[in-house]
Amino acid sequence: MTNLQETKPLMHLLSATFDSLQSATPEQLEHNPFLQLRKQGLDALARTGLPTPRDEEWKYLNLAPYIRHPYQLPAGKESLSHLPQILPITTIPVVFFNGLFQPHLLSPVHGVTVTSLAQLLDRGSHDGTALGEQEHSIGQLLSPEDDPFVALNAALLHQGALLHITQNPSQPIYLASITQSDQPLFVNLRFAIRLSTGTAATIILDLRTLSKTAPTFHNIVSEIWLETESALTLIFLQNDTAQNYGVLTTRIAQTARSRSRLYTITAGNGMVRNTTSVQLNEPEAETVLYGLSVLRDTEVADHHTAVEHLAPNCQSSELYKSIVADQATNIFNGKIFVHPEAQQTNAYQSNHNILLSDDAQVYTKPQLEIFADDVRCTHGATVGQLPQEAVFYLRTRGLPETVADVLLLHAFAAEVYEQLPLEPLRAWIDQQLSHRLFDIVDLAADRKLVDLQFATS
Amino acid sequence: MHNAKQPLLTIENLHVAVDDKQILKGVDLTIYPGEIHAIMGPNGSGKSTLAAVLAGREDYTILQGRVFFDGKDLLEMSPEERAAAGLFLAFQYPVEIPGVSMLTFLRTALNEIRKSNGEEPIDTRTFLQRVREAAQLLELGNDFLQRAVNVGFSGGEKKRNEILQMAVLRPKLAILDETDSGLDIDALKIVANAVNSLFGTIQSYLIITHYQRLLNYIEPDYVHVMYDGKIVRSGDKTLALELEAKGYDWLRSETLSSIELPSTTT
Repeated sequence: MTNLQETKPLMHLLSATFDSLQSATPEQLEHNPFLQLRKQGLDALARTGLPTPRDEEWKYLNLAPYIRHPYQLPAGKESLSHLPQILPITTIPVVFFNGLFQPHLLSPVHGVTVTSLAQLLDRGSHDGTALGEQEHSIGQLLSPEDDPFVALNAALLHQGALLHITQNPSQPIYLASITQSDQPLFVNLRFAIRLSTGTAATIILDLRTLSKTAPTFHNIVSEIWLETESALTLIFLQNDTAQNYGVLTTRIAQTARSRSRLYTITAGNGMVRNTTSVQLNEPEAETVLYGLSVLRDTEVADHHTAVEHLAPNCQSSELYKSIVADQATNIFNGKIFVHPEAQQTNAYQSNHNILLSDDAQVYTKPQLEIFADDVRCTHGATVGQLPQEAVFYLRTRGLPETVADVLLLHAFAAEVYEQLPLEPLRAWIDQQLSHRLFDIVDLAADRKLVDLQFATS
Repeated sequence: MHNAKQPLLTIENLHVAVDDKQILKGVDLTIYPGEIHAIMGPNGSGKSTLAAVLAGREDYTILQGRVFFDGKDLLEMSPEERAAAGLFLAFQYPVEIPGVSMLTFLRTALNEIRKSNGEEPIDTRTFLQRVREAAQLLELGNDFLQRAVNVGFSGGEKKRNEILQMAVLRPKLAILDETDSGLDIDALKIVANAVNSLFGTIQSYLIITHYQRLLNYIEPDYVHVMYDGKIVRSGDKTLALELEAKGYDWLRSETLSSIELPSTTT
């Protein structure tokens, strides 16, 4: 632990891990894969430390202001008596409150097995085959060597959940972290999710803090396996408040004819880094990645995506958009790798950004590496402002400038989520974003959304 | 014959520049309710600049002159205030609005105008009826109304869409800026028929055109010829025919040889 000085941000959180490794017998260390993962995490962190803007993958995101707080890990046995009504839909709640799993909120669901990671760990001995088979073990898709936040997540490995979907659940699974604390809180969660052959599920990964004064920092690592012909819709909701920071690292491994569809809605959390990668390992797998940032004040959203085409006849499609106001920053880095065996690949990527102020910042970088010859691959990126011709056109039809602005921004944004299944959730997202756009263009508060009839799509 | 009435539009000695280049050099024009005026002239004479200035485009500098619309100082009004007051411009190059359906667009526009005039939002049934009638008049199918504004429209559809908006918004004065350009003869007839049938609901038209052919279908009360930033000649509809026969070169030589003061009222 000599390289992990406690004076460095976040490193004080590791002392318990350090102690647990110190007190473990050599036999425990050898046979307990979770202890091994913690050790790997510590070792990797000791080598690399946390990322700084000097690291290529973190070039435009300065974490210093977000990690400097005296964060504490969850302690005690805090419990949420009932699930707060946040979303307008009924769900299967897999909820963590102040970092601790809340199993009492969850009733047994047919076709979905939820296992608490903490429970597995506290039992002391486990063979590490998280979801029944060796290849679906925690750490198989994302190793501490891959990324400092994966390393940190491994070093702090304790809370999390294993989800095994064996039959189509009747409702979306609500994978949520909710916090309420006067002290800065560090929530470290690990998820392993497996969709069995032919199943289809929707999972909403939501980060909420009810704290007004102290920040919550989320470090979430998710490993997801999609078996043959399974279909996952994964929705990241990052439309909370400025005190909510998050680094989310997600990797999806897909087998033949499986489909994934990801929506990332970032519009409120003070800082979000999404490192999202999809591996298309077998033929005819498909992935669609949609992302929308609507940012104001000093909010920062950093979306790093990587799609790996490793088999023939796979398809990937990416659409990321941002509207950036005030001093906010949006970062998009989209990698597409087409390996030599991935013939007949279709890969599309586009990233479009609207800047609404002189101080707003957008960084966009497509990175395509193509090693197969029979490939259809397109990408495009734009950074612009509101089209003044269109604003003028709308004004000549009687729309005040602010209304014209909101109408255009809304239309720009809505393309990202108009295909989202779950109509009540789509409408809720639409309403949240519309209110935010109204605020951003500083429209008088008495204007009602209904005036614009956005909902008539 | 219209002394009892207030003019709908009065332009007095209007001088306008864009990027330090003077485009309009003293335009005078008066339009009364119930009149159809046409402005003709060669490319670059300032016709479209006049239309843009009247609609409120901001990249022009007013050097001199005044414009009154329905008794109000037009040049003091924002584009949306002009629309609310009843002025409409059919664009020469209509703008694409991706992601905004025609229905959303029309309803938002109509309700914003109503709101400015202290009226309640239009009820859905009346609105849909009005929009469908307009679409029918322009021979545009109902699926047209579900499409995003001007996105993927053909040139002719874009022009017809301008007139459809006019039919829904029902302004007092509609300025048609080269609405005939790019229209085939069938579309031209559809547009002309719509313009004629709305006359009455719409009090006055100002038709800006390079060619005479639209005026075969929409009969103007007055024809004005614009050249080098001024109205150099005004007359009745026979002036359009004369122009068509002689071409704009005739005008060029005339203007050079005789300095004729523009007359706008007849």
